[in-house]
Amino acid sequence: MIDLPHPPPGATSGPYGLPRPDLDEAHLALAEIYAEITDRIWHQLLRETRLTGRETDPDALDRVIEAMKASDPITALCGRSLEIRVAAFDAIATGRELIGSSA
Amino acid sequence: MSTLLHHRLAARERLEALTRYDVDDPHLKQQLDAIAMRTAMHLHMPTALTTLMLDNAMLIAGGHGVDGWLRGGPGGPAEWAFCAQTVLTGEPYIVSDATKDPAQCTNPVVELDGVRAYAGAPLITPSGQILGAHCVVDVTPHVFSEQEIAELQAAAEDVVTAFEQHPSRHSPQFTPTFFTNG
Repeated sequence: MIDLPHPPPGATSGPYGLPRPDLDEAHLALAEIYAEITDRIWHQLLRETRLTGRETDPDALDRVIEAMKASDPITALCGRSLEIRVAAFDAIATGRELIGSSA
Repeated sequence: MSTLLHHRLAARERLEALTRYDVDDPHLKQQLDAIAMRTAMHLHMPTALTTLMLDNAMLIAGGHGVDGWLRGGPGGPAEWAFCAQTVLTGEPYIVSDATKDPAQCTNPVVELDGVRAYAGAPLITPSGQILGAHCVVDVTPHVFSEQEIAELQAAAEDVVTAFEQHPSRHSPQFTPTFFTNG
């Protein structure tokens, strides 16, 4: 039996411990796959999207995800993962807002 | 997400295996939906799915009875995915009543989507990589028989065959259509 924590350690914000993905999560996701060559790939993505990597707005993440999906096949999978996590966060957060607004 | 979970799912060889299939091919999706429908009918379950575990999320590649699931999205976070267990252990993962399972009782898909019973079989490629799972889900508790699990595993083999028939352009098996048309 593999332990899958709910919520994951360190995740203290967001519904069910799911924080909305940001550029840091995108960078970390790439680091898990690419290890020592991560920074080269990350800076390439930042150049393509004309970002500094310090942005915190959702639009910046959307641009990086699109750039990842247009990149090599493994980076594209990683971008797709982030897109799914964003969709899950937004769907649940929206649901909570709807519940809250009717209360 | 959990660093350990992410680390295990992000194994380069497994992700490379995933890139060898054209998971967006509409014909593949049709085949996966048909297999899911057959599995759901044979096991008398309302929902059957084929999922692919990406590095930190689950992608629903095909299914039957999935409407309204996971907020209608394309998948969900890996840490919420029962199928992550199936992939990481490489063996069938079975939950008869998720509300009584310490590992799953606080899972959002249990609390929000009402999932109670789950059985998943790993999708193992000829090279031994595990892409995802073929699974059935019910909103009522269910004790799965050995025969049901064997049937699920056989269906998972059919799913892998379907993937093998749809290589991506990154696969050694890929043949451009201009070689095959006419």
